[in-house]
Amino acid sequence: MAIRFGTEEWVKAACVELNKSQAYKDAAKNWEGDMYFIIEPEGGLKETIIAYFDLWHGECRVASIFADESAKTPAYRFWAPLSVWRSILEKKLDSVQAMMTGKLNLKGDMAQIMKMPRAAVELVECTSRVDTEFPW
Amino acid sequence: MPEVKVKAGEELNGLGKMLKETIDTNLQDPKKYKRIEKLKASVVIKESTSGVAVTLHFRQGEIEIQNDAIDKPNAYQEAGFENMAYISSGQISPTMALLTRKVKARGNLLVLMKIAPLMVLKG
Repeated sequence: MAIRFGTEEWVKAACVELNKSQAYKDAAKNWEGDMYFIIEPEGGLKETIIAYFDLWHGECRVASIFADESAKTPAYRFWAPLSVWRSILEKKLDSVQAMMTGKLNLKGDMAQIMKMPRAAVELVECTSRVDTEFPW
Repeated sequence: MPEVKVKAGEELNGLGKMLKETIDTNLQDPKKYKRIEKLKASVVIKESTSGVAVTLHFRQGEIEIQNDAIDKPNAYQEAGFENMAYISSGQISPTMALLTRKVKARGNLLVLMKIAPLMVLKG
């Protein structure tokens, strides 16, 4: 059954997918750093959704939804409007293309991302495996 | 402190933002800045998966970045995101990337070699 995007249940399901993936484990074996996926309001979505993932050496340790960005100070922030996240998760838009065109924005230690570019790609790949419902 | 200027009126694409951040960090190193201080050239950098490109204009100490590729740059470099990242993180040397065709290059290769250290982030 599809899980509503941006809910506590959805981030937990994404966390499970990450922990199931050998490809992610391998790509992110040296990754250290938590992150926000920030979903900006658009269309029927009226409030920003802040999805938090604590990722450590190929493992998703914690995943949660926060109402306020100040709840944590993650090492990385990915942000985009809802439609961009939806296109990426539905594989209509490649995540690298989204980053290169500036549709998906990123703030954080670029040196670490550049060391493990596959980790970022596999991260998105895993989250896109969650059967997701977009009610907006 | 020297930094890359964005062409007036433009909002950089994602590739441009990443490159600007990388180059700005490297320009804080006087040795790296000195390498390009007298350089006068334009360089197109393209990410091959997305087709997104930017042009860097080196004007004897000043660097400007703009979206998209100009028609006749002095040098041209193209690579996929992952290979760009491996070069940026120092996991592949720019020379090795050229020799193994992980990077496609055209035009004045000396210019590309000269600016290569600006693209490498050591962190």
